[in-house]
Amino acid sequence: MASNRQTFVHLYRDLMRTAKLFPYTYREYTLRRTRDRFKELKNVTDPSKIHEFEQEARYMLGVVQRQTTLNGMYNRRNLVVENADNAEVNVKKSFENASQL
Amino acid sequence: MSRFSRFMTLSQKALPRTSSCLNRPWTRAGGVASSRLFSSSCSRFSTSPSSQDPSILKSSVSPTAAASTAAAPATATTTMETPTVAKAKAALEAISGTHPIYMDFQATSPLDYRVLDSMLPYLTGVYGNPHSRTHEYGWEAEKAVEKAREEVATVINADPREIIFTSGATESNNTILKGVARFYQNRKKHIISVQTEHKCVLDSLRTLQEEGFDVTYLPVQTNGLISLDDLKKAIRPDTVLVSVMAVNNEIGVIQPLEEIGKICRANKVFFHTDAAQGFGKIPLDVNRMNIDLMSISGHKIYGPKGVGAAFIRRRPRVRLAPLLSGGGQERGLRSGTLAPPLIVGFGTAARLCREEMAYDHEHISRLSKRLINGLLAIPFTSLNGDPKSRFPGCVNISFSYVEGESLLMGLKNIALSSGSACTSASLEPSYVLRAIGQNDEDAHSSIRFGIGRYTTEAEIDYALDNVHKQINFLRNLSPLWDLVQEGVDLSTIEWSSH
Repeated sequence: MASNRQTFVHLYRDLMRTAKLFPYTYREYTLRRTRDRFKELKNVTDPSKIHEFEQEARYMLGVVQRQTTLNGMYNRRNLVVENADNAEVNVKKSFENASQL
Repeated sequence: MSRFSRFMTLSQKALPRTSSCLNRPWTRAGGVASSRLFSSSCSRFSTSPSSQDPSILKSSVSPTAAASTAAAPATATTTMETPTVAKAKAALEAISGTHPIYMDFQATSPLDYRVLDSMLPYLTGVYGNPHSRTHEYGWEAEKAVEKAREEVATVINADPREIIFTSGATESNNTILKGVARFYQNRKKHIISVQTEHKCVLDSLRTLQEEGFDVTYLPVQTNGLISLDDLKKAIRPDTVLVSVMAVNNEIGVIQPLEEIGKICRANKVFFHTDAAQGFGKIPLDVNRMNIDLMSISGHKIYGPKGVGAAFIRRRPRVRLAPLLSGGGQERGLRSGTLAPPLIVGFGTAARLCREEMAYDHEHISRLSKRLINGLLAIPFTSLNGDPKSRFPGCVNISFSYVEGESLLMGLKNIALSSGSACTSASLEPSYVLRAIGQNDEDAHSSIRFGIGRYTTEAEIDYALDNVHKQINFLRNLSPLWDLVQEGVDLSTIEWSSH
C-alpha cells in the first residue's frame, strides 16, 4: 500500500486533534513539534524515507493517544496562561475521552 | 443533553441510592471516574456530612481563588444537576487557570510523555531483575538496560561499556571524586576544582580534604569562566583530578571544556566534568574534549528522577575505588540492582535529546533572546554570566534596588528560583554569584529563569509582563529607589552619623 499525501494529511489531522486533549505543557509542545516535523519532511521524495516517516507518525499517534488518556486521569491542573474559557471545554473533552474506555 | 452532563448522571446512577453511602470519599465529587480526576482538588475542600445542602456548598467554594464564577453554578441548579454535580463543576472552575507556569528547568524538568510511554511496560508486565541470568524475565530486562546504556553513550560519543548507571548526578559525583582520589591516594594527593561547582562536588571535596587531600579551588572571572593560565599554574606533579562543570546550574555559563581537556591530557591528569545541566543540551564529545569522567543526571533531560549515569573512560583506563560494595554489578564500580523502568526512561530521554538537540536549542535560544531583551529593558538590571559562552536556557538576572525574596513572592504565578534548588532553603546569598564578584545586595536580588523544551512564547510574555509590574511596584515602595532617581550615589551616603 503506497502511502500518499492523503495518508499524511490524515495522520497530521489525527495527531493535532488528539494532542488538543493534553494539558497545556504537552499540548503546546506536541502541536508545535508535529507542525514543524511535518513541515521539515514535506518535500521528501525517497520512498524508504517516506515509509520511515509514516511509521514514525503512526507510532507517535499511538503514544499521544495513550498519554492523553493517562494525563486525563491524573492531575488535571490548568495554568495561569491558559484561557480560562477554553479550560472547561478541554477538561470536558478529556472526560469524554476517558469515558470511552 | 451534553455528553459531559450525561456522563455525570450516568456515574451517579452507578451509585447505590442509600443516604449512608453519600459520606464515602468516592461519592463526594459525584461519581467514581470523576473522583479520580478531582482527587487532587477535593482535598482542598472541607467535606461536610450534609453535602446536599447548597448553602454549605457555596461557603466551601468561596475561599478559593476563582470565586466570582464559582458561586454562580452553585445556585443555578437545573433539574438534572444534583448538588454533587454542582460541586464537581465548581471544583472544575476553581482549578482552571490558577496553577503557576513553570520556569525553573534547572531545578528539574517535566517527564516527557514519550519517556513515560517507554517506561510503562517496565512498570507493569516486564518486571524482572536485569541481573537474573537464568530466565526470560531477567533477559528481557537486561536487554532493555543494555539498549538504554547504548542510547546514553551515543549522546556523548562514548562506548556503552564506559557508562555505569547510578541514582543521580550527586551519586555519580561522589563515586567519581571519592573513588578516583582514594584509588590513587598513595602517589597523588592534589585535586583542582572551581569555586562555582555544585554543592555535591564541593562537599565531596571537603570530605576528601578531611581525609588528607589538598584541594585547590580556582577562582572565576566576572563572566563566570575560569582562566586557563590559573589552571596551568595550579597543576602540580601530584595532581590526580581536575573537576570543572560543563554548564553552571545558576548562571548558565559553559566552561572551555576542549582547552581544559587538552591541558589535562598534556599533564596526564584526569578530567572530570559534571555535565548534569549540559548533557543532551550542548554537544559534548568525550573524545574531542578529552573528558575522562562525566556525571549525568536523568531528571534534567526530561527523564525520571532518581537515575543518573557516570561515564568512566576505559581507554586509557581510569581506576576507581567503588563507593558501594556488593554483588559486583556495573563493572564492580556500583553494586546494586538496576531499576529497568528508570533506566529505560533515562535512555529514551537521552535519545530524544540527541535527536532534537538542534530543534530544542533553536527554540530555547529564540525564547531566551526574547526574555533577556525584555528584562534588560528595565533600568538597573544586569545579566550574570558570560553573554556569549552560555547555555541560553538559564537566564540569571540581577534587579538592583529590589529584594529578591519579595520579588519571588510577588511572582507567585511563575515558578522561579533565586539561586539553585539545593541552596534555596538557606538565607545566604548564592556562593556562585559571590564568586563572580557580585556584592551581597545584588546577589540577593538575582532571579534565575529557566527555559526548556516546553516553554511557550505565551509563558515568556506572561513572565515579562508580571516581572515588569512587580519590579515597578516594589521599586515605587523603596526609599532607596527614590534616592537613586534623584541621582544620589548610594555608596557616598553616610548611614551612621557619629
